[in-house]
Amino acid sequence: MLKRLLGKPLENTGALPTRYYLHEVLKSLDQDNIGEAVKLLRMSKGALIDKSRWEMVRQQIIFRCRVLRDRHRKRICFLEKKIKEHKKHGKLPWRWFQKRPVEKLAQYEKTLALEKQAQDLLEKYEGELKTIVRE
Amino acid sequence: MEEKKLSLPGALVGALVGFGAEIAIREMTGLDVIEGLLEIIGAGFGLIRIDKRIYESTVKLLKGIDIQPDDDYQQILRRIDELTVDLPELRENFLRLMEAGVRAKNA
Repeated sequence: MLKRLLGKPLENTGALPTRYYLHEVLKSLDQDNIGEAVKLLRMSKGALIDKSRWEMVRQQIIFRCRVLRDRHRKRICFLEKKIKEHKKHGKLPWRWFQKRPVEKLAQYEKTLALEKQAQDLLEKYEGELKTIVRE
Repeated sequence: MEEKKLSLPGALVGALVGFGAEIAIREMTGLDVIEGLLEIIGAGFGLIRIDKRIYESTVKLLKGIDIQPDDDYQQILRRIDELTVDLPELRENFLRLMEAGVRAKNA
């Protein structure tokens, strides 16, 4: 109950025990909220007894970053292929009658930009996690 | 089998003796025994809880790896190796989980 009452207000101070932060980090990881997980992991300081657990959680976040990055990479490959096909075949006369080819291409390009952005963000988080060393 | 009876006066006497001993130890050594014991018990339960949570998260991560339906054991191992290049502890945990899974399947 104390945790529920004081947890959220005191979370940003970094004054709570390591285990509290680790629970919250794992909760964020379950929701693939990597940014929040990295932020909370940075705040967790505490007893030496939790060091190995802290390290395990850090490795878990790095691992999830890699899995998600790989997914984005596959999607980027797919979208780039689609855009290439679209540009190549869009000029053919039988394609002129298809519904809104330009809009479709724009949608592909927009999604591609978002995918690349997500991949870069995950790369940044992974880099941050590699440099975090526990005090 | 002899039936065990719980004695309320016995419990009260035990609690009183314990309380007296606690006060005596605190007076003589300055150490707070009961508080210390409660802290140790609390920390123990906390560690069990976090260990369980980390285990659950490890299983979830392993299940979250993108695997093709026709991938065999070796291919999955290679995939784990690729993703855990500099994460030795996590890799070890994954391998243990995989071995346990294979053993359970064979049993």
